[in-house]
Amino acid sequence: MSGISTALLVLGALLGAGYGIAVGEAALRGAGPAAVWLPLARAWSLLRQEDLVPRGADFRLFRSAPLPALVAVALGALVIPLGPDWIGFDPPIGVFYFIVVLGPFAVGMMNAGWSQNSKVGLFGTFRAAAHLISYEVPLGFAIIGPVMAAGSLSTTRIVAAQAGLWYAVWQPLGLAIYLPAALMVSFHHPFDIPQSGAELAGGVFSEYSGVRLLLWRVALDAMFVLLMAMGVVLFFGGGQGPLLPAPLWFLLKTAGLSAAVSIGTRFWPRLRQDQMLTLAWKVLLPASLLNVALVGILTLILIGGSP
Amino acid sequence: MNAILGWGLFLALGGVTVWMAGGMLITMSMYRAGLALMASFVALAGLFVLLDADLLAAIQVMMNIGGMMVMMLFMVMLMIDPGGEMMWDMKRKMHLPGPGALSMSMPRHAPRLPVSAPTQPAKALTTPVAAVWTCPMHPEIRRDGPGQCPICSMDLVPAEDPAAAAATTPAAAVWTCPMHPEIRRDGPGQCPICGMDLVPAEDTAPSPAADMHMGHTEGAAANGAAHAAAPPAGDAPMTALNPQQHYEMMAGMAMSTAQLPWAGVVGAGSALALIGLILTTRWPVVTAGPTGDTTAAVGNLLLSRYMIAFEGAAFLILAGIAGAVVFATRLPRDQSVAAAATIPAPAASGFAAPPTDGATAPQPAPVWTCPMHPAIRQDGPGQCPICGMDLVPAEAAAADTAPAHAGHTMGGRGGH
Repeated sequence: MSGISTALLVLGALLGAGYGIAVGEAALRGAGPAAVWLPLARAWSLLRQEDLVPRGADFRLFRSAPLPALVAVALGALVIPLGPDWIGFDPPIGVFYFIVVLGPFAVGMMNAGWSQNSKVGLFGTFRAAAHLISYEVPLGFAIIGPVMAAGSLSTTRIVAAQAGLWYAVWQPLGLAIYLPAALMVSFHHPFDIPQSGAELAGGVFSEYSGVRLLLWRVALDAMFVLLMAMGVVLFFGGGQGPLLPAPLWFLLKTAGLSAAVSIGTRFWPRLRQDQMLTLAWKVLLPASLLNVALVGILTLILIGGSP
Repeated sequence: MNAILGWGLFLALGGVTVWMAGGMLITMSMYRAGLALMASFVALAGLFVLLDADLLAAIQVMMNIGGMMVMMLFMVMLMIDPGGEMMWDMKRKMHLPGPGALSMSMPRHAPRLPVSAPTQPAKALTTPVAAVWTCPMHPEIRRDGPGQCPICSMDLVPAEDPAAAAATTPAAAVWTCPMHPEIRRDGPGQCPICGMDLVPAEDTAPSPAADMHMGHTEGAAANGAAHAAAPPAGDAPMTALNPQQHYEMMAGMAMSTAQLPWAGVVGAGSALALIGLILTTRWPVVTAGPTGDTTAAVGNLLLSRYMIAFEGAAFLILAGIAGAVVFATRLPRDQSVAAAATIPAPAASGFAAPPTDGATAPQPAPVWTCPMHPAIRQDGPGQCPICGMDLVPAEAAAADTAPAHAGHTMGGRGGH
């Protein structure tokens, strides 16, 4: 299978999983059986809305702001291996590449808030910038653990190195650091203060409507699923499992992790910017340094120092 | 085919790199400058990928996206109009010529605006001294002739002569809106914001708007004489700015600062030093043939040059921030510029506000008012009997008029 078609397949799988996330969230809100078609109905209503650009907005930036976010999702999905041969692009620096292409997502969020030329949008821009400052270092250090254990930055080799034991089992601290950092990257619930409706009247999305708002929703959900998929790659053995084929295992694990995180974070209060920065720099960063030391020692013991 | 593709990619990425670097230099918006620099560096990372330096490209993208975001954050917090939105919007509304969204430099001469109604110039000529035109929605816009409001593009209307009103009732002739204390007029009328009838204000704090009127009345008188001498034309010429006035206006609108020449010299010198440093160091691959080690040699070259250029760029950014913070001083007052500039922005932006301005001078007997209930006016500090908020000096509220309106113009244009 060629790389492009595999990449499209991976992206399609992620978008399907994003739809599943939307269904799950609707179900969590008590929608009942209607949760199955509620996201579709919402998307249809957004498609029928007028695509408004506010007066005085920087219209080029405003209209193009969802594109960096979607590009970030698509580029990040390239290095997700659904199975041993199910990967669109397998560079030797795969995980590092993944962290790098996450950057445009925050830039897109900043552009969305800035370009609409309103006060709440500007506040959202500041908060979105705080997200990138928060997540980048803890996320990088959390990913270093599996990289050290596998001895490679390639996502396929990290998955292959977990044939015996998942990294989640003996690197729980790394997983505990990765998950909040991933929530910060994807602007998911406890860290959704730049675009939350209750705090900031929609924040960076306050002026968006119609198809562009739909693009933003898709980008946010797909980014969350993408981060959970990378969590499966790093800590839950990727597509490895008995009986079922690898892509199916991968999607099942991703759906399970996404559901667990969505349910687990559902009743958390939103974190303010200062609380988020405090968590990232005073808790997650020292913990990730500790995690790197622990993983180094455990790698020497478990693998014997010869990766 | 592959070689053609490679050359095409190289030229495209190189073009984007140079184009975006140029866009960073000419744009008026700090935010767009940051985005342009980001795009330039990302295109540079694409060039690295063409040279098989994948890791270097990834480092380039990651460091520069984060760095530029932080830089934009600082700039947005430091500057009054960091986005250049005010200037950009003005340019768009006045249909000023110029290339696309990257360029926001103002022309040397203000444009000639067409006048559609033939009666307006005649009226202006019959009453040359009272020829102050204002916008129905933005009373702070005051021009010497008819035209369009630079904020909302509405046709300007003749304003009631503030100088005459001030001359007839010089003692206690400040009228204000019960809801909008920043509205200060020389006579009764209606609030331009909410349409309520104006009420006399108890305090006699001179309003910045009145100050602005006075300054412009002088200019209007001078221009009225010029109009009388000149034959009546079909279009009303707006005052053309000489380069110094143009620069002062830009500085007043915080599009640039008085440190611009210094920053230009320092930046050009640093860039020349960097280029010299790169040129004088040895190029390891000039004599190397296409051996198996060529990739490694190119990587070494890129790393050494890259570190020089990257540290140099970081130094330039730090120098810019230091220049903006450390060396920023208030501009000296230039009365002629304030009178001749067609837009009273230097006074409005607060940059060029002189310390001797009546609006900012401390009053011996201040009147204290509630931020929410301007009808409450007391002789000393205390609490509002309606809402319990701490009272603030009324002069501060009056002096805040212009910056408040600037923020209003920048942030909430849709609110009108």
